[in-house]
Amino acid sequence: MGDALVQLGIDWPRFIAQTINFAIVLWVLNRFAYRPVLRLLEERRTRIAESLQNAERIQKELAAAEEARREILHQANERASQLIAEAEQTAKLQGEKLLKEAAEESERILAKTRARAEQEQQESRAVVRREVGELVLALTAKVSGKVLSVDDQERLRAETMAQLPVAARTDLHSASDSQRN
Amino acid sequence: MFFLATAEPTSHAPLVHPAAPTLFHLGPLPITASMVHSWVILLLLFLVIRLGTARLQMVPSGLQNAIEAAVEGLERLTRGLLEPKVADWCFPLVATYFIFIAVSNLTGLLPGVGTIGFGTVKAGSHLPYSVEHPHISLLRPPTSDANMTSAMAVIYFFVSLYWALKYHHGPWGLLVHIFGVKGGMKGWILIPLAVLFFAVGLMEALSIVIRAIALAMRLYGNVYGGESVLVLMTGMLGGLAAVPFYFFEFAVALIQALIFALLAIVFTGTLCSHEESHK
Repeated sequence: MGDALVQLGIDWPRFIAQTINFAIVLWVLNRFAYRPVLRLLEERRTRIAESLQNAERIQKELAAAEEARREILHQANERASQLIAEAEQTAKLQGEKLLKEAAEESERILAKTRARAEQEQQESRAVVRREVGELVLALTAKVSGKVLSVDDQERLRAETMAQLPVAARTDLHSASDSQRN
Repeated sequence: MFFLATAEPTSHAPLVHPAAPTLFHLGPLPITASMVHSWVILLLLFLVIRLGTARLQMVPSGLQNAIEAAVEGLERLTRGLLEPKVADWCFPLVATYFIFIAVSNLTGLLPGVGTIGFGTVKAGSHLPYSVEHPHISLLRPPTSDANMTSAMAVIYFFVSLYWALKYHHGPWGLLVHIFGVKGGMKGWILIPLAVLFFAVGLMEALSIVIRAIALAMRLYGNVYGGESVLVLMTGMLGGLAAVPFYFFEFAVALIQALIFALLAIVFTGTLCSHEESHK
């Protein structure tokens, strides 16, 4: 056994020296290679896992956002349709109202115009009748050659009035009233 | 018919001396070529590691990639065969075995290693400083020095024993693990089984010691034998005969590193495991 060890060159000093050499290699590798690299690998694993989780979360959020966008768009479309329908309805009602008001206004203007025309017609007739009465009085005075008294004038006026149509008489009365007034 | 290989004492000196040559003495300590080679490996590893890991990047490139791949590969190998906590204990030592042995073996194949040194002057050579095979080479792979392989094996023996004691919560737990009756039997059958398992335990204890010696001698024998073959073949056909053996030794260099590391893992697994985990 001893000879074999000697033959192989094994002795305590060399053995201890090589043990120390190997221990130094072990320490160097562990200190400068294994620890930092394993720490980095662990950190990378953690980051990759986090990234995957984040990607999944973002995907879900994106899907939710897309769903919300669609929902909002749908609601906006519905609201817009509703508003358009309401606007159309309001415009229709407003139009009808305006048409009705315009018709009423035109009716009113027409009635007023008619009344005014009627009044002017009556006034014209009254003027004509009065002038006719004055003419009759003047003609009578000239034909008879005498000055007519107030009573004669009143009587002649009454006779003329009696011979005129009812409408003409009314006009004349009203004309006489207005003249008196 | 049996063929028996017998070793006979011979007057011929071996081509490569089994012991690493001593270059000089530092006090009482002889400095051998394998020690110098160990320092060269240490320096080389240190430089490579510092270059590759001084500024670790989250997105690796170049040398960092290679170092990460090596470390991660060895870590996976360890974790694949051991319990997580045992793998944590075991990984640095096992990885160092693989890296150190692989680098040692591969650098041993470099031209000049084992061939530059002191020897008998080669007569008639036209090259200056030409010698016959150097008796004292300046560099010799540490794995072809029995001191280094023994040192690695002894370190493994004591460290694995420490792990086993830690794993089994003390000496009693380890003794139960080695000598205890396994299989969950109960009743009178325990008596013969206890005798049987005690005998098995004795063999197991013996194997624990022998494992370390086997680890050391297997590595030393392979590398030393390979070196001897290369030296022998270099002298034939103008060195051409050594070419195929260089390829072979290149593979052996890595295979031996892997075998040493794997056996260290497997032996640790047998020491640091519960009966239940085998089921």
